[in-house]
Amino acid sequence: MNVVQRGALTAVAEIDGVDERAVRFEAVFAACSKVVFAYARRRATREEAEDVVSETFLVAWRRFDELPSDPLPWLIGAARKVLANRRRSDERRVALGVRLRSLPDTSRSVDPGDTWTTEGRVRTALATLPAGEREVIELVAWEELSPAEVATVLEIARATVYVRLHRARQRLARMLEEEL
Amino acid sequence: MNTRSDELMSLIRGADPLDQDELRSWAASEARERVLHEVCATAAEPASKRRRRRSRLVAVAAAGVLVGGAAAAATTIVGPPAPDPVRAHLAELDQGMPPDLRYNPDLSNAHAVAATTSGTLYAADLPDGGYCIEVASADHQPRGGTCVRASAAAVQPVEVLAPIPPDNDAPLLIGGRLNSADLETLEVIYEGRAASPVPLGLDRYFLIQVPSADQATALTDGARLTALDSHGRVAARVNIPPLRDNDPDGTAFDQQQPIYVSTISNGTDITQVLGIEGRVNLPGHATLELTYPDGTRVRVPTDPDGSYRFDLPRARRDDFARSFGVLTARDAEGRALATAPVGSVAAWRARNG
Repeated sequence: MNVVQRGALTAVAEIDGVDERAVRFEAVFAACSKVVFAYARRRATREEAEDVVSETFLVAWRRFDELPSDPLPWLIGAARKVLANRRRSDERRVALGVRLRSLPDTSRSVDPGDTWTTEGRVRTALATLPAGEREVIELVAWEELSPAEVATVLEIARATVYVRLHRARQRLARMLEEEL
Repeated sequence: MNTRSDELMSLIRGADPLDQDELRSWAASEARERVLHEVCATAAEPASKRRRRRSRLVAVAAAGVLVGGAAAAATTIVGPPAPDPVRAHLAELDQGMPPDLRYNPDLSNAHAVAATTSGTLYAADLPDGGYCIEVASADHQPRGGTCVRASAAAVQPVEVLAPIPPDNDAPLLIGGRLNSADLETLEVIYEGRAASPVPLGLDRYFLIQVPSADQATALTDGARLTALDSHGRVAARVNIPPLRDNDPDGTAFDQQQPIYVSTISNGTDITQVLGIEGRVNLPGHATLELTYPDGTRVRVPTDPDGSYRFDLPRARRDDFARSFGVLTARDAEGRALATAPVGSVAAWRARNG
């Protein structure tokens, strides 16, 4: 016979009490950590990506009450800032001549010789886009975010996202004419 | 988007540098779990909000720095053994749990540790040094129990168990234990009254019987406990919520939750989730989707009134044994309106220790 637990929260409350905030946080982690890792991994080494996930969710925990109901864009936005801070930090170290370790390749590797494959040509084309446009179209194509979500991630107006997206498409279409 | 744009986006997706195999392996890796644990460890807060329901377990975090003090007195006197109904109720706390999540209280040696004229507090030791406690009425009927692992007891100076009475005329009993060896005395304060000392039972356990003159106050306003150290300084406080059972069916808050979730499990194996049911209480919601712990999403059909019942495929019933999924309600444009965690009872216990 099936036993209906009156809500997972309730079932546990009867057993041992629940730190509801922590549980909700863990659910958010379960649902979003993979995407946040993917975002970071596309832009950093695996080791760095794991650090970025860790720092991002630590921020999320501290500001959990501010997390929107759909937390993914917020989390990617936070991951983006974490990455940017790490880059700035690395750059400062370089400027001071205190290069503590070899810097990872912070951009996706674009092998100049890899123009014989479609994939290589697309990556090269992406690399030539203005940073703002490239970021928007990558978030749409790779992170599969809507323009509204991209606006949240980048903290810019939705209209700006549409403009950048449009321009990025136009530039890429011109550069990849042979592929289309 | 026109066809040309679609082709362009396909090209860009095809140039995604992410190795999907690496992503999959990371999602299932210990590294991911480690990240979560690191975050939780770093973010750990001393105070935790506890959800109140039928049985109110009120745990207080350290309200002061507890240093020095005498070692906990060893239990040298053993109270009467726990009656069968109490042992049975304590045993139910492990029912359906996988071996590694069971408390495994020493039920054969469960015994009374504090008593009043209206009830008795029974305790059973856990293998890790923690304990289970059960408040029982004078006729030996279990009123509510809980287990506290040693790790939890180490960070909670005072453990309090305040079962909701079966009716408003039934004696109000509040049990618990002073976990911290630095706490020497305990006082209870009812609204508008002076503090009254609480006699301790064996091994620092206690059972309070609310005086009839304060019963109405405790039902509506709860009470406060204050634990003092050997210098008479307040070292910990506990606010006990109102003890009135204003939610006899346990459903009062269901409609207040954006997404009410009820998991369906087999009572013999609560690592499994056979299905979920409940209701979306959000105007404007259009769809409901379940995200499994591995990230796979499925649509959960809802009735016009927002209610739903979704039977999980057999192959998915173990997915929530250790991890949590998420229910997401979205509007017609696909925007998320609210989320709710979904996990097996075992997963919740694992989470809460």
